[in-house]
Amino acid sequence: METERCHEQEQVEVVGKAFVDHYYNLFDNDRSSLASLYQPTSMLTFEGQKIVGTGDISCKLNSLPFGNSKHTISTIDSQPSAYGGGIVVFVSGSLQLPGEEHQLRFSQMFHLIPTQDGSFFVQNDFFRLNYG
Amino acid sequence: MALPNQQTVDYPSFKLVIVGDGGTGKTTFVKRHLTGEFEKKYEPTIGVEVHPLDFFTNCGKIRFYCWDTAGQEKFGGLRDGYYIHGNCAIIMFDVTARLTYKNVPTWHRDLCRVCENIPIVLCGNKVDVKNRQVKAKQVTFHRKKNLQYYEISAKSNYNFEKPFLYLARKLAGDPNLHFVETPALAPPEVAIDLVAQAQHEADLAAAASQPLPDDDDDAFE
Repeated sequence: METERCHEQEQVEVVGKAFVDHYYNLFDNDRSSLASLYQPTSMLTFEGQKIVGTGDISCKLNSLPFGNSKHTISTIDSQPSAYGGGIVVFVSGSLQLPGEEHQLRFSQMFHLIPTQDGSFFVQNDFFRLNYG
Repeated sequence: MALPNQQTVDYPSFKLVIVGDGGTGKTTFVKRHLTGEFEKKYEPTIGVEVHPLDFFTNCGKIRFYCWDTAGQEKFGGLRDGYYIHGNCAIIMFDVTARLTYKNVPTWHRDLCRVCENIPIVLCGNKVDVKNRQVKAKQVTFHRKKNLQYYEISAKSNYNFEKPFLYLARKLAGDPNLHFVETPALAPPEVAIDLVAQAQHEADLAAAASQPLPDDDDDAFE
């Protein structure tokens, strides 16, 4: 039982890390492809602004007024969620925008839900810059 | 207001917050002032770069601690900590990008929510660019809110001192205050067509005598 739980936690960490790598790689290099990670029920709260559904979320991310960014991830924490097979991932890090001298600090949280084809989609997504 | 790690001075100093959409030229504008550029400090917990800009007036020196973001405005609004204790403000838009003028009322609202009754200057930047999207006579927001408006071109230094002079006069309560020395500025990177700009200024003056459009902030489409 104990080893089973250990194994599950390990899997959760692995999936969380793989997702985070994939997400920020797309964000930095091919932002329009992020749409593939969301579904019509998905919710994004972006700096307090609530957005629902693949189309509006994709529109929001693509309309951000800067080109290729560069995320540097500092921490990734993952937990199994109460939804069967779901995973909650909490990320902190910094990002460099083109033309800006200083990096911005951010936190982001994802709730990943398994899909029928063995992959995951983002059901909940919270993004905040970390400033006073 | 200086940052904790920043030198303070024994002459009058004021916190000047600069707001406006990303890409309108806020950073380019404050960087023109060379001594400010040398003495600027960055505070990572607030994500702000503070440039101390000194000006020489007939009443003595005055310093503006100009607060410039690290780009957070590209994600949405700014935190209250950016505005708190602001003594005066500049709202910047880009005359070559219509949306940045449409967003001016939002910046004004956010600013006034924290800083009540501070002197504010609206600046239309990049007037050196030939292909303007916002004509001088289309700029009416400042008249509705009693702000001062200046057309500027950060890259050519055109009207660089005007916003600071207006704010200094308001803060000092002296409409006759004037600058007695020009601060060292970075050399112009572009030339401005002064004849064309004189026409824009004339249009602006003529528009000021026209009645304001009825419908409020949506008037500009």
